[in-house]
Amino acid sequence: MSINYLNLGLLQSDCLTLPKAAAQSARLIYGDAPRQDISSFCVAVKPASLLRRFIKPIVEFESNFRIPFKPLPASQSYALLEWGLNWCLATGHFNHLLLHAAVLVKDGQAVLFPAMPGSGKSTLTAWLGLNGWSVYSDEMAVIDLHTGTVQPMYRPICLKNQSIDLVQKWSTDAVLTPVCHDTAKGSVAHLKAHNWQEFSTFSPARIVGVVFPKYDASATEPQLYAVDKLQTFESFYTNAFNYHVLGQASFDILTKVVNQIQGFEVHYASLDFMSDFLTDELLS
Amino acid sequence: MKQLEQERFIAIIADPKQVQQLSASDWEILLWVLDTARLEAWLNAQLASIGLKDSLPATVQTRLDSAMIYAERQQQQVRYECEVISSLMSEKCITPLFLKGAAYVISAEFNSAGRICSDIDALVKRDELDVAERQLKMNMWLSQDVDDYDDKYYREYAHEIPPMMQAERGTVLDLHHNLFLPVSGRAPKIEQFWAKTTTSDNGLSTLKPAAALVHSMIHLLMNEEVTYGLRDCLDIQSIIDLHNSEAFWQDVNTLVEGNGFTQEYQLLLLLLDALFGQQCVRERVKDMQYTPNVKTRFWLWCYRKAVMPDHPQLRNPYAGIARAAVYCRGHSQKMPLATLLKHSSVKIYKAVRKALVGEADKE
Repeated sequence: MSINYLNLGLLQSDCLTLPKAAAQSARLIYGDAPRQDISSFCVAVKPASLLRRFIKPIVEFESNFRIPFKPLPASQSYALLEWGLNWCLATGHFNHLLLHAAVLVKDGQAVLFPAMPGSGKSTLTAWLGLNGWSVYSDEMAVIDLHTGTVQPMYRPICLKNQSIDLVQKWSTDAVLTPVCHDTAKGSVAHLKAHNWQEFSTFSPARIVGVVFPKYDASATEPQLYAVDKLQTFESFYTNAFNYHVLGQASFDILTKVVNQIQGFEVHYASLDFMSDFLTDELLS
Repeated sequence: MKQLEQERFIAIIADPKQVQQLSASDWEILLWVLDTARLEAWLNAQLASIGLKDSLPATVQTRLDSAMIYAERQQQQVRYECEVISSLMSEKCITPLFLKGAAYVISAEFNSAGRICSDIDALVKRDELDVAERQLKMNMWLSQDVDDYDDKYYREYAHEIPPMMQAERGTVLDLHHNLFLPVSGRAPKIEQFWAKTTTSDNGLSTLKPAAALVHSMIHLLMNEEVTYGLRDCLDIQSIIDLHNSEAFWQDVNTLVEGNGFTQEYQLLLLLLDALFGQQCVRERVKDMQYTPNVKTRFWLWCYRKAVMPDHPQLRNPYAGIARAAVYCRGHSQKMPLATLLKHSSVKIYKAVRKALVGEADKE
C-alpha cells in the first residue's frame, strides 16, 4: 500500500517513494487525513545505492530531490522519514516560530514542555494524550507570530525504549508503528496521537504555561521549582529551530508569550501527579 | 512523475503575471523548481511588485512569504557583514569592493528584492591582498580547510584566495584580486574596473552597474558551473532594466572591447533575448548587426538549457549534454591546455585515492 501525500495539518508534504514497511507505517499514521490542494514539501526515502540494496541495505532521505543527511539502515526508514520531516519544517518553514517542545492542550489552553532528550517528555505527552489532553505536538511547538497562539500539527509521538512497552500497557488499542531498533535514540516507535476526526476539531490555543519536566524514578515526593521569565525566555530561545532566521519578529513574539505565562520545573515520578498538577496550577 | 515544460517555466519567469493560469499541481512543481534555483523569494518580490500576491492560493502565499522572510534576514546579515569587513579593511587603509550578490544587496543602484546570496565576494587590489587576508585572519575570519595542492592552486592560478569563514557566524567570504583567473590569460585589466566604482550612502563600495554587468557576464559564461545560472541571468536583466541608457551601454562596450570579451558579450545578449525576450535587449541585439555562426548558435543552445534549474520535474531534454559542454568550456577557458591537463591529473588522482582509501583523519 503506497501513500503519496502526508498531510501534517499545518501543511502537506508530497511523498514520492517509501520502502514498503515505512509506507505501511505512514499509512497507519497519516492515512486517514484528506489531501490538501498544494503540498509545500516533497520528500522520499530511497535505497542509498544499488550495492547496498542487497548487502546491509541503507536508505536516504530526500527533500526536493536533495539529500540532507547521511543514510541510515533500511530498518529505520520510517524514523528517518519522521526526522526528515522535522528537518524540512525547521529549515524551510519561516511563517511560524518553531520551538523544540511538546504542546498539550486542555480547554483551549496550551502548556509547552521544552525538554532535553531523556527527560521523559514523550512518555508524558503520550500519557496526557491518553488521559483527556489534546496533543498538538510531541516535538515542535508552532507559534503564530502575531497572536502568540500555538497551532496543532498532525504528527505522531516518537516513543523511545521502555516507554513503548508502557504505552502498550496503558492502552491496548494504541496505534503504534513497528519498533525500529538501534537508532541514534535507541529503539523507537511512533504513536498516533489522534485520528483525523479528532484533530480536525483542534484550533489555535493560547499558551498559559511552560513546564520543564524531569522524570526521576527515585523521587519519593515531586519537586517543584518556579522558573522566572528570563530563564523561560532563554530556554525558548535555545530550543527554537528558526529564531535566528525570524530575527526581530521572533524576539517580539517570545517576549509577549513569556510575559503572559507561568513557568515551572518539575521533577516527578508519578504521571498522575503531573496530570493533577497541570490541571490545578496552570489551567484556569 | 508530472513535469513542467521548460518553455512554460521560462515564460513565467520572463512574465510573472502568467502565474495566474497555473493549476495547483503546476504551482507545487514551480515552487520546488524555484527552490532549487534559489528563486522563490525573487518570484515573491516580482508578484508583490505587480500586486498579484493576494490572489494566489493560500499555501502558495505561505511558501513565498517563508522564502521572503529567509531572504530578508539573509540580506540584513549580508549588510552587516559587509560593514564589518569594510571597517576591518579601513584600519589598513584598504577599500574593499563588494561584488555580485553582496553588491546588489548593499547598493541602491541595484534591485535585490528577494535575492539570495551563497557567500560574500569582495575585491581588493593585488598588492593589498596579503595585508587584507592577514587582517581578516586576525579578526576571526578563518581560511577554510584546503589541502596543500588546492591552496597552491588558489594562490598561483586563481583570482581569489581560498574561501574564508567567520568563526562565530559562519559567513563565507571569497576575497578576490581579479574577476577571472590570471593563469587563463583572459583576466580583465582590473584597473579599468577599479575606475568604475561607486560608493553608497552607507560607505560601502561596489562596481558601477555597467561594470557589474560585465563581471556577472564573466562569471556566467567563463566558469564551468552554472547551477545558479538563471539567477545570474536575472541579475543581468535587472541591471539592464534599471540602467538602460546610451551612456550605460557605452560603458559596457568600452569594458567588453577593452578586455576582449566581445564574443561572450554577443552570446550574453542572445541568451538574454532567448530567455526573457525583453525589448531593451532585443534592440541591442539588432544594433549589434551580428549573425551568429554555428559555434555561437551551439553555445547559445547549450547555455539556454544549462542555466535552467536542474530539477527532475522541469522537462529539459538534453540538459545533461548541455551542462557537460558548458563544464568543459568553463575549464578550457580557465587555464591553458597544458596547465589544465596537469591540474586535472592531480584532481583525478586525488579523487581515485579518496574513493579507494578514504580521507586521512583531520586532527
